[in-house]
Amino acid sequence: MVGVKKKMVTLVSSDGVEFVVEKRVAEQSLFIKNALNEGGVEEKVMIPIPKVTSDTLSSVLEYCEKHASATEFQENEIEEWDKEYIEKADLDLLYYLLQASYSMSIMGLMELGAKKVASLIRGKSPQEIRELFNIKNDFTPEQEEEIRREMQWNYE
Amino acid sequence: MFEDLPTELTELILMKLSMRDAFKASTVSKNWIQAWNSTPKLVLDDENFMRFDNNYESMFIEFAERVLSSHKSPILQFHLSTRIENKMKINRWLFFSMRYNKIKELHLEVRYARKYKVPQRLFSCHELVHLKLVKCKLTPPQDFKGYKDLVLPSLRDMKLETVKLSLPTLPPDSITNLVSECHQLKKLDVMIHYPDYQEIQIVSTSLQSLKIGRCYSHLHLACPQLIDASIYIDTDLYYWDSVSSCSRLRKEQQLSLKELEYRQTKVTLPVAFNHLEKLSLETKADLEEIALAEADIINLKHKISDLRGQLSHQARRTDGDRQYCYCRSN
Repeated sequence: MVGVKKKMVTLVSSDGVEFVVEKRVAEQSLFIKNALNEGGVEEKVMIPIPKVTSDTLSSVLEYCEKHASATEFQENEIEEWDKEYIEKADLDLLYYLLQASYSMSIMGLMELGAKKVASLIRGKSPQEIRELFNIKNDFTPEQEEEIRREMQWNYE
Repeated sequence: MFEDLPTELTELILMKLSMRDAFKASTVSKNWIQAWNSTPKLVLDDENFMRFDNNYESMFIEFAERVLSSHKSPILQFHLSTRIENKMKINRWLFFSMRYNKIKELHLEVRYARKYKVPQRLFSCHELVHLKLVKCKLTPPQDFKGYKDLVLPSLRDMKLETVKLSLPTLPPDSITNLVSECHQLKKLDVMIHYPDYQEIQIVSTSLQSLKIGRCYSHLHLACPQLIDASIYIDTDLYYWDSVSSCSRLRKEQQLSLKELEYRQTKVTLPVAFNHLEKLSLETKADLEEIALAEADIINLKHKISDLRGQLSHQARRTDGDRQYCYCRSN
């Protein structure tokens, strides 16, 4: 792309790390796209991404980069890539990716993360799910007994 | 950690699970229960209850009532698949799913022996986009002109599978009215069960994709926007008795050539199909009949780039399956 200067934007993670990326990559996030549209592209090239740390943001941007050039690939290539991408994320990263995709409005990543979590839940008992995802049981013993009664069929 | 996910995300996760898994997952914490109670998609399927055999029906009803009674927000997608015979309950659940009139997608399959009659309330779901009915009985409103409210203005996609269109006095064009009154309808897949083989007219200015099963004696299509059509040509009325219980192959074996020759089927394509790109004719009938249909099409001089008649299986034919392909372009 000699002579054509790509439009770049700088994203700043919550821990202050700057990421310089192409505008079209950053715009995979509706949150950023809207921010760019509102502020006028020229002046507003530094965009803070609150609540997303540099580790998570770099992984998010990896996703955005691939999907910004999705048209160059076959659909199943992208699917394959998505699968590997989410497969290599550990539980912590998966959680942060979900949170980031939500706050940055990246629908595809949100879907992908939710699907992954769902696949981990499938076939597990509530207790196993709590343990896996580190979810605190905040029911009183009475509430829990009631739930247990209600879904007798499910505990068989 | 995962307990403080935003409700929308938890909902999204729960929607990707089967009812059984979703319900189980919803009980891990208060936040998750809350998300479950506000998920816009509900899938009630009694498949999981089957192993309780004797009292599965009461358990399923209890479960469904519980899920619905604690559900708080408008339902956008509702799937109900059941073989319980309690029509009152099914009605109530359907009404519940429609109570905010926000429903966009409805799949309904009622598998008990006598066909469940879908309430007329269906026709006032103005936001309905996708409708799939399996093994139900549907009475389209008789007079659309009289009820301006009783149409489905947003419907884009309708699938009627083994659906019986009812009313003793039902005019044969009731499907015509239903289809032509849904102005957004793009996709139609019908396998309807008329009391008798009937002449069917499909008239639509919006329809792009049509799939029609063996359920008519004469078929008239007037769909100028049609780009993809799959039409089953068949002649045997007696198929219908066994449609629900037999696999396709077995049905075909039951058919004798005599009956085929006896009943003539004809496809009439009376209007210019300017957008038609693909037409597949599937039949067990003689080549002559296919040729008849083709002659009709060719006479109209339409742009059909790919016309394919598939001759699947003729019992007494010695050379086995034959394929007949015809391609032309204007």
